[in-house]
Amino acid sequence: METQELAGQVAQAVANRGLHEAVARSVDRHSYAALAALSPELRALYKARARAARLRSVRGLADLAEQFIAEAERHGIIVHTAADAAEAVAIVAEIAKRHDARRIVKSKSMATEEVELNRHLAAEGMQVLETDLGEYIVQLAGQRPSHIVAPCLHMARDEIAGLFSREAGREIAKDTPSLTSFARERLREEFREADLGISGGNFLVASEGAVVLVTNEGNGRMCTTLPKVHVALVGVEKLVRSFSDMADALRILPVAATGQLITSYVSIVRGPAKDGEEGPREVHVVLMDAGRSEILGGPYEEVLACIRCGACLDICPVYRQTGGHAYGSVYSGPIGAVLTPLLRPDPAAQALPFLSSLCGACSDVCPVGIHLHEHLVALRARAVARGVAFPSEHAAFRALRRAWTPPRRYRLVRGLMRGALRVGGGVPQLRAWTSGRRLPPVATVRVGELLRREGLIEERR
Amino acid sequence: MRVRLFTTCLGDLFAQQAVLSTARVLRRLGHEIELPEQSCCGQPAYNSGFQEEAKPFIAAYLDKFRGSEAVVAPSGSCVAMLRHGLAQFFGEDGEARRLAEHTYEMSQFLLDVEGLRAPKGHFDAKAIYHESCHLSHWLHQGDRAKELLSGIEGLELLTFREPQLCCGFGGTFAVHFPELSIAMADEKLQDLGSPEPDILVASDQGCLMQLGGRIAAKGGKRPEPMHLSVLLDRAGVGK
Repeated sequence: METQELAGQVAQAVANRGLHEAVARSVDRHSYAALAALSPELRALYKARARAARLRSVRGLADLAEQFIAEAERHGIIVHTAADAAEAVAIVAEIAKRHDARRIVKSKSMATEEVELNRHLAAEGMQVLETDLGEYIVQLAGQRPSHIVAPCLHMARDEIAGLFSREAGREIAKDTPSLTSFARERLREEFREADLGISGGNFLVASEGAVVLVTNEGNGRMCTTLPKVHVALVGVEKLVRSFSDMADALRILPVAATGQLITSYVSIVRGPAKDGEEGPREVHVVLMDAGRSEILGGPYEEVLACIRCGACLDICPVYRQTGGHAYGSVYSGPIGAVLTPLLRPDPAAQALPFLSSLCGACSDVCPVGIHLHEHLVALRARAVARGVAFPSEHAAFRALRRAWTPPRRYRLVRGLMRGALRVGGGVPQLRAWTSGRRLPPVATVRVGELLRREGLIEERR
Repeated sequence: MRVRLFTTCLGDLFAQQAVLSTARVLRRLGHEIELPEQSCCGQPAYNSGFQEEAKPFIAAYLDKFRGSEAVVAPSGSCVAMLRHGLAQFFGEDGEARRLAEHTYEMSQFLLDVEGLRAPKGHFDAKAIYHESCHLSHWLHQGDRAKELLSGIEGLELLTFREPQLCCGFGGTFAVHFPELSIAMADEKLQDLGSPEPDILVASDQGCLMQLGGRIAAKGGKRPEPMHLSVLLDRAGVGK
């Protein structure tokens, strides 16, 4: 049972209290910075504009894709379309092979995580190095990113110093300057040698045929300018109509992610270098669908407006306890629990919407106003319809429905309920409750009776 | 006003004081109270993905509460479910839409319909107020309920460092992921400060069962979980 497997993963993550401490510390830093960055009035204004711009784009996606391809090709960008993950991987691998690429540098990209690009390229004998600091750290640890914008947020500083020391073959101190200067040296060397640079894209601007990258470390710019070939693998939902629509979304993205008004780098890639210019000789864009267009036009369409800021992960009371890996998916937190079952048909993905207390903080914090908690509830119903549920629950709720509606019957079986709860030690659900919480006693007399005795009710019926 | 009471199943089975207190406060404010036949809002089934099993609960509510001037329940969570369910299952029915708008959580009714602001009362205690998520995020009330406590003499009202952090109840979530749910309760309880307040006030019985149940299981005595309506009642609001 997928739900039971998920519950097991979660229990394991929760047992690791060091993980919770590391995650909680980082997400709180993000959330507080995001809260302090804008006045409530400005936040509401930016949110409304970002949502409108993103929804406009999502609803016109097919046309925008066409326009993007035409404009990009006019500037000499070679555009590929990939229907699914396998196609996307094959296209990138083919480009790499054609250029005999041995060493590849990558900037952070969730789309490439989604298709497990690194694993596939490594199988072709290529060496892929992640150059975003956090992504580099999780790569060294042999892990996957645990957060959309901060891949190694779950790791403690000591752990990172250990990884770096092992990589360096000498002791690297755990203070920030020592850690970053080691990574900088190591990565610089690789940027100079790489044959191919791979990136994702935060926005694809249709009217300009441009790929836009939003980064803080400058590694994205190096990946897209130093190697002689640049490939950007981007989900098709990242299309926006114009620079003006992009600006509406870009204004809120860094605020929501880390509380910055703007990131250190916003890079706009408009094509290969012309003669006499420095830069890549070839630029490819792989427009990847991989399940996106199936979401279009349906009840979950607005989910495609997501700008991957990670704010819903940062505010989530579940994520702060479990970190991202417990979700067992590339995207974690509330957006991961919504997006993953929409992109992946497997039963394990369908179970993810259950991993939420439905507090709704995510919907409030989302900078493009996605109704995350409502989608979580709807996707639970979809999971149940597909046969993914917690064991014996369907029978239990069917019985409850029969026993409690119509209301008159509720009155009759209430007494039975009481008895069942009193001797209910054998019911797994009850045991799950009482394993760490006391259950108050069930009242003997109906509350209606008490209200009547006290003369609080108008007897009319 | 003729107010109909929706006691909620948790109110009937576990938290009768919250129901009685809600009724007493409403009576003191001059309302007549009616108690139509009722059971549950259907949320346990609905939020667990069994919408078809939840629909008859909403249908029964619509049937028995049709024509109500106002319905008051001592739970933001149940009210959010009733409103949502009426719109989803019976949105075509004008009476369902009207009833949804006239179904209120207790503090919401006192603030928005009654127009109560900082009512006078007296209650000696150091209290901390927990913002229940469904009142705060689903009904978009935030922490407005605290206004009802600001005029009560003798009450020292404390605030959580993270007032919006979920208690970890989440309905069936609490038994689907018990370790996680308990870890969430513990993080919430760590935020109580020291020494602990005398009472923990909230407007949803689910949160109070979760946090109170955890405090009791750990052998703690304080704070005592108390529904907002019970506090208002004991403080003599409306007298």
